[in-house]
Amino acid sequence: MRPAARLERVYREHGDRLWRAVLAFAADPEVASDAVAEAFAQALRRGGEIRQPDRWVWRAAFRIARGELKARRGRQALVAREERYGMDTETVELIEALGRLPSKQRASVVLHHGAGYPVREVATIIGSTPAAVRVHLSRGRRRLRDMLGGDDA
Amino acid sequence: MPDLESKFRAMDRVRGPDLWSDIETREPRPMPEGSTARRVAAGAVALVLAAGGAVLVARAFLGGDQAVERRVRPAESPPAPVDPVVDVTLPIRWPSSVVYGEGSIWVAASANDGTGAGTVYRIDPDTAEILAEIEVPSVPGWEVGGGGMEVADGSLWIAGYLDDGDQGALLRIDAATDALADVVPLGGQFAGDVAVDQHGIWVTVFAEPSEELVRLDRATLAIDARASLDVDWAREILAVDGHVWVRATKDTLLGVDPASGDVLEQVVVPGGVTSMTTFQGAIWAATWKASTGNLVARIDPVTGAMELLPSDPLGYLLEAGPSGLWGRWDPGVRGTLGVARFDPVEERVDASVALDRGAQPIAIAVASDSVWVADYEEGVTRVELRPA
Repeated sequence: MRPAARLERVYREHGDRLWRAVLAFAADPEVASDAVAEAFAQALRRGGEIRQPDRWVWRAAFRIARGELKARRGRQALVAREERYGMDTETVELIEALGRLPSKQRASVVLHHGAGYPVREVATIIGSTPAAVRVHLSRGRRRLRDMLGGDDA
Repeated sequence: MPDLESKFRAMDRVRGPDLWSDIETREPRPMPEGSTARRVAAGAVALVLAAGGAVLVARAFLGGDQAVERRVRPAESPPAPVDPVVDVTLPIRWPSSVVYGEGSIWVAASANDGTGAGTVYRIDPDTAEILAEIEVPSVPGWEVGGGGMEVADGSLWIAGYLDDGDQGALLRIDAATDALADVVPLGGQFAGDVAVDQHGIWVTVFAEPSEELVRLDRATLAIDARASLDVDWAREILAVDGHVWVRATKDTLLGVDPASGDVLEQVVVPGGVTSMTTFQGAIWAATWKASTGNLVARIDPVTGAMELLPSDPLGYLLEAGPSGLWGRWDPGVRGTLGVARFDPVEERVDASVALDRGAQPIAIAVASDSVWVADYEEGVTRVELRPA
């Protein structure tokens, strides 16, 4: 299969889930769209050089989104765009609560609990270690429980 | 946290835009890793001498494209011919690192219980007998590549962390007693790697807002220097012939003056580094490019001069020891991986063996007559090196 066709298939399989994960991380649909599109565009330019494009684009999209947030010095309010993307109150509350977590805690929670990646994959995506990711998850869950209520695991 | 899972599932109703047409037509921005490298190049490094409280501002990194191939001093001698044979696999779960030293193989294995704790196994490299099992509060946690352990001064040194990830730590196991002898808190979040040379014990520490390079006194284990690197990722440290090198970001090696803390050299390895080690006075790094396949970079630790040598089908992992320079062997057959040796004189792979089908080697240790391979989930395999 040609690299471009292979990548489009990856986009069709992962694109929506990746976009939601980056949205949960960045709280900004525009940042999510830009990070996902940029990650796939970078992958498209590299062609067959990338051995595992699905893993690569997840890593790249989160790195790009993180860079954008750093440039903006933090997340911006999501609520103003709420209706535009049809989010319900529960989703808005979740994203706002995530916004109060440090960056790596937030990314770990989104990738593990939101996107369903195992700890070792999360570590690969965010450039950390499985041990550190477990710590981020434990602390992130605790803080989210305090903010949103519910049981910690 | 079931509630959290259900909250995320509710988010599944949110649909994102179809971006494919934008993806196909947009001009990609400069590479993210390049921008990181530029930040490195623009930055200065501050070495804080903890004892005196003095701050030495190091000079800016050397600029320019360092990916220039120059001849590095030749290899010293060809390795003796060997016939590698897969011998035995010890059923050790979740091994994360393996090293050779003090006449033993040392394997760190995670308890995988979320605490970071684990067990260090000391193994006789000739008989594969487990000589000791030492419980430790932290083992190296890297997913692939091993590292985070070094044998020196009659001790096994481990880069880890304490307090549920609140700070990095250096652990020492006394090879004379097989007991955990010291645990030194290092600050930051967790330690990435450790190397020992005549200047001290060097540890990379992941910290906010920048990774750090910490030096400890070999006799007292007191922290006597702490360098704040202007990078957001720095892992391996190599100490060779009085020179200290740190891998920062995917493809950049920083040569640090151990006396002044200056970053003396910056070497960019095309394709990025997946593994690195020292052998015969040089730094060796595994890299890969689509146009060439697997390569090993041989880098002079004094000048930073680098040459790239084709190494297919050896790549991804590299480790050196008494029996030579070894790496992962990937013949391109699905489910088949092994280990292979690179001859630095002939500059080619001169020995290889396939591991059991489905093996996923993540770290290698090289002893005199054997090579040891840690698997991703379970198993540490001894490969016997018979004279050819």
